[in-house]
Amino acid sequence: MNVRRSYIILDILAAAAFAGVYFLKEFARTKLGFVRWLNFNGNKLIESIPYDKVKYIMMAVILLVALLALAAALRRKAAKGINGTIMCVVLIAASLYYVYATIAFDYAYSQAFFLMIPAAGAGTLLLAIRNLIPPVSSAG
Amino acid sequence: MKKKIFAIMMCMMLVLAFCVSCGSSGEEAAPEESAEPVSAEAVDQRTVYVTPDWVKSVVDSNQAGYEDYVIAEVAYPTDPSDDYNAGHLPGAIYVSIQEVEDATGDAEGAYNLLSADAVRDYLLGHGISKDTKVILYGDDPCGVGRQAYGYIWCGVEDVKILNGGKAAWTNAGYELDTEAPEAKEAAKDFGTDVPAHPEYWVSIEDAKDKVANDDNFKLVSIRSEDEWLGKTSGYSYMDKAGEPEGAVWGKGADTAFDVAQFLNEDGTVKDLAGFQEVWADCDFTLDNFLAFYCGTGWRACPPFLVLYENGYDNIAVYDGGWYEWLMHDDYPVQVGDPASDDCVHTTVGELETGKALAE
Repeated sequence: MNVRRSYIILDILAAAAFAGVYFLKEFARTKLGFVRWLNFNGNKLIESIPYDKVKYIMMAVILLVALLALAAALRRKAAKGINGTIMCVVLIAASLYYVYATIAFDYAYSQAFFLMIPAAGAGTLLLAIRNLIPPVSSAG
Repeated sequence: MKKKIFAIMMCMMLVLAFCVSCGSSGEEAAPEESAEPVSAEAVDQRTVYVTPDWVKSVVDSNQAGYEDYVIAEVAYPTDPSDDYNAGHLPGAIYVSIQEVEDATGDAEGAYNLLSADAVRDYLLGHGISKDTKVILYGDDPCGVGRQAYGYIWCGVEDVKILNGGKAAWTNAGYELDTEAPEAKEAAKDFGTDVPAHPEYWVSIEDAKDKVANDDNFKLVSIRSEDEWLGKTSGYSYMDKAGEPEGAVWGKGADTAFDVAQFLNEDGTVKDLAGFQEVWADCDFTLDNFLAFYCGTGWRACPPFLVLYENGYDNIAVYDGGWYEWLMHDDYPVQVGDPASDDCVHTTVGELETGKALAE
């Protein structure tokens, strides 16, 4: 696939994931039916898997990928350009936000927490993958 | 260029997500002009559903005895809803339905009313004691009814509902306000022990016991036909369908989210004659003790309130509804019309799953 197109797709998907975090919280605040669906499915999920363990394992894996992506991007000359620098900053900010979400989001914060954390994780992972893909010049 | 745009988009999305973490802020809008003073005939204390003219007469200080009142817009979100911020009745505060009912749905809360102490404390925070006149309105007749029922159960003696909500108000030619009302000072003493009317609330244990052992006790299902016949639970979060064994059908709903059959064409709640028309061929009379229920207690409230305002005291709400019944595998269930031979009598634990409402 064309590198530029893959950047665009990954950017859109990452933006959608972070927008999802926002809308999940908003809908959980305002939509009665959604809140109750969240209660029902959230309880089922937490009963069926060790959710706390899974979320920290997910965080460790995604942060590792993000670190590798940052290292790769910084090694590339392109990272020194404005675009590369911006994307590195965005990835760092996204990673910090994901860590915050994993630690701080719980039922009291929003009934949608069990969807918001993976959404933030998915956004961070997509940004990391984007940074792992070499730009056109170095991709050859 | 595209890269830059997407980089900027990413930054904006992150900022947006961070903003969510910091909570939401209210909106400000310009005030609107007020209409001319209105008078309206007095109504009884137990009258619940009132007209826009009557509410306007209170707002205009033309209703004797209603000098100490609180008017409130009711909706589900804990913070003032967008609808409220866009325009509310003059002087109206915002109250959340989560101030009267559990929002967790866990085994303890089960979407039932909160403890009476919790409801009272929310009321006191709004400056409401048992003697304060309370006028509620909202878009959902079930949600507003739920709030009114909770307040009456707790002990507020005069609770009104603007029949038809904000739409009726604006259709009557009255204007909405966008200015934040002056906060009423919190009340210190509610004036009575709470709940003042425990008799209006039926627990799941009492519902199970009385429906089996008291011929005069009727557990009245305010649910749609498909829910009543066990074709669907009606909800995305309940995967078994049926009714508590011994329940009778009180109709009223086309889906799990309305009481369309209890409403007039203009969206106002029908009067008692209208309800009796709906109930003409039902298996209960108004002489029975009627415990209304539905999925989680919302649809059950309008019929309770209409009978309440007509002086009936042989009424209550079985608050837990089908949702709480499902938490007990050994509880008896009927699936289908109990008058037919096809009706299946079983228990919750034996019910088949997969009956949740498809999203």
